[in-house]
Amino acid sequence: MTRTPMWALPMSERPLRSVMIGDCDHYLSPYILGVAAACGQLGVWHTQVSIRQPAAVIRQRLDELQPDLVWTHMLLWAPTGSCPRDELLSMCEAQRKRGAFVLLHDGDAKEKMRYPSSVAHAVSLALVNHAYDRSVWGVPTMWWPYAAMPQFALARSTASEFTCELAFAGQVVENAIYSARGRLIEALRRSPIDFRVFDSTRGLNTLWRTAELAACAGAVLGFGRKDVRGWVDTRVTQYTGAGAILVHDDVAGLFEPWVHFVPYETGSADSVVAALQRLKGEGATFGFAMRERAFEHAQAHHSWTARVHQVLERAFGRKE
Amino acid sequence: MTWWGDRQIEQRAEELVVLADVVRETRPSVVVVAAVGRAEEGLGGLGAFFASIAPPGSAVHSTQDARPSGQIGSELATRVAAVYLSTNDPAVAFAYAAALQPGSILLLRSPGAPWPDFSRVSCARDSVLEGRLVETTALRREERAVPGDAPAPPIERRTLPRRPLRSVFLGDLSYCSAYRLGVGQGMAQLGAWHRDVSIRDDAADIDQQVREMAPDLIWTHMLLWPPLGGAPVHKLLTLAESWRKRFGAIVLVHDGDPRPRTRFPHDVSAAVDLALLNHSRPVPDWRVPSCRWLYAAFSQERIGDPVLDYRADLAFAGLMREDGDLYGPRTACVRALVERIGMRVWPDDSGINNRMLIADVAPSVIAMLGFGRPEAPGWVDTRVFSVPGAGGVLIHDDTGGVLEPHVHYVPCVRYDVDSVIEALAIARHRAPEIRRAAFEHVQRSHTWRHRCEQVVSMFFRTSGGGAA
Repeated sequence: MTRTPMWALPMSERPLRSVMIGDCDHYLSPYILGVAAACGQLGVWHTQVSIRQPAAVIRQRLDELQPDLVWTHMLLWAPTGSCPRDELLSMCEAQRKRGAFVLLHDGDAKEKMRYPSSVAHAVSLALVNHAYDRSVWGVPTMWWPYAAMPQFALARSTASEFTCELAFAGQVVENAIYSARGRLIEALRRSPIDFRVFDSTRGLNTLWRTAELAACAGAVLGFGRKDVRGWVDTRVTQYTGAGAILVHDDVAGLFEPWVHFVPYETGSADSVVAALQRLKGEGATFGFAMRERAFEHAQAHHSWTARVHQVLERAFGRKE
Repeated sequence: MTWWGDRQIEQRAEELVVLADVVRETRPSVVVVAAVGRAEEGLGGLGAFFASIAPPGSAVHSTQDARPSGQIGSELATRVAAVYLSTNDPAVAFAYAAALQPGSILLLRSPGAPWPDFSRVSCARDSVLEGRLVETTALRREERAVPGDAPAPPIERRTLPRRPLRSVFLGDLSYCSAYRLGVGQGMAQLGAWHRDVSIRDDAADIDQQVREMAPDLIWTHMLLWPPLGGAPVHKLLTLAESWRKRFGAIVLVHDGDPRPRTRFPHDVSAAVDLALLNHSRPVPDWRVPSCRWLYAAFSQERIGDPVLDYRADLAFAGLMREDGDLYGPRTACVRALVERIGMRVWPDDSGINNRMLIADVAPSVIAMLGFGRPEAPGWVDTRVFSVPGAGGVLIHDDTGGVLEPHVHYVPCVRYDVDSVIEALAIARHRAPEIRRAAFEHVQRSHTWRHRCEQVVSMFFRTSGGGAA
């Protein structure tokens, strides 16, 4: 098993303490789960506090933990009934004054800001999964796409409900954001490909089954949104990091076509079919080698461990 | 008859915890929740609470009758084992007390009158009713002390899956439990995918969160004595049973209690695979395999530097309570040490629990104090791991064989102030070497990662190449 070097507070050597304030009890957020997994691997003492708890409870938890890092989820657009935003910001401000590094996460594919005001008093760094202007927040930003869950080895392919030629997992809904995706999925359903859709709106979310799905499906489909600058589909790292053959139209330069993934032309079912035919023609050895290359590249550079490491270096300096 | 009428209970939560212990020990078949006179606010909640602690299959009655009569009256005499009675009228209390069968519980509460009124009621404590309780309760306990005739089945090991193990912690997330945070860290270090699910959620939410993960391992916390307001125990056990059947989940219960008897003396073999015990007291009622599973330390590579705010010669971190046997003698000893040598105690006036700050606290003080519990066989204090695991010098009377005296800790005599002061003098001279030896020993063998490995290896064969 790979042993990841542990992180400690510079000048003190004690383990870093870290807390996630977010909608952690109900929302199956890859960000929340990924940060927790990475902190565990990096030797950071990490815990979570639900943003739905009363302010006094959150404050007490922060007092108990005296964190070096405060990760926030939905800080500026907390779910209804949560602790009020101003109180949350006030707590973050107090933590910053204590010396904590406070992180705001913005994975939104929206140009328009949901909170167009300064948060410079409360936040140290904004982690963004887009290239939109967020200067009004008055804090530095870091491009921080979604990432892969840590995994030490490729999963074994076995016959399962995920066995098929091409799989898609996610929401299949008819709205402005997903209409193009819905059209392509419909077209692929009519194609000769053994195509299976795991629609999270009709059943359980398959996020936790990623390792099996990646291993059992011949390939996994994903879609970019080229109209959203800098935004990266979570499947780009999620499935490559689990050793899938990813079929994608926009990986934002994180991976190399026909080395780490199979490219196709946006919106074209015919292009997907042709890409899969070419993959098949290359042979099983080629496909397996692609899985391995993608897995190794993703785990090295685009796992949650790598993402958290990136933040730790920004906050505390480069680890020797 | 257990009689609570003389007990002034100011907070409902505490009252219910006390009652829960009694109900668990006496194993009522039916519970009556009664509000008399003014309707009691939250009576429905109390009914749900009783339902959660009553044995599976038993009924719960809720009534606002002034006096036991009709069907309730006949049930009291035959099937009812506990009554929650809210009344200002002693005569009503007497009526219930007389109607209940021996070994039952009567909890009295006065919604509209000051507590002193209950002095009239509690005179009945001295009546023949209390004598009946002593007799019947003693008999029940003796019966339970006999180990079950059906031994727990052996654990069948399975092949470690060729993918990351999936792991859920189902427990109370509203406080910083060392078990919860430790398992989270340990499983992450083993490469598992792990998440927390709140046991305070409603049952449907819990079920969905667990099912969508289809975990290999489910670590439970307070499964058999869940916190108030959440899903009741029988519902949780039904869910656990369904997860075992549906996707072969391994369900673990944790029992770190230093209590002489389990709080849930029932068969849980349909829902649970293994009991993780921080004691050596058998729990035959559960009819599941068990293993000794001690607390542990968080992973740490190096000892931290001292922090000025935590400087002290001797420190104690833990609950201070002047109650009976559980915390009373410890608290008295700690108070005497505060008096004699100005020992530092946490939580301080701020009330903040500094468990998670141990990596700062341990190297900042000459020594930290802890005590064992000889009355709880095999129970090992969490400080045996947390303090040396963070580079602290521990003064302790019973480390359960985990640490070597004068190498990994400085021994003392239980609750003996002079002995602790002598141990502190030794610690002062030998602190650097003890810190280093104890830190290395605990980090090498007693971290949460080691505890998680212990469980994983009990259930999974690694031959064949698992991914975790």
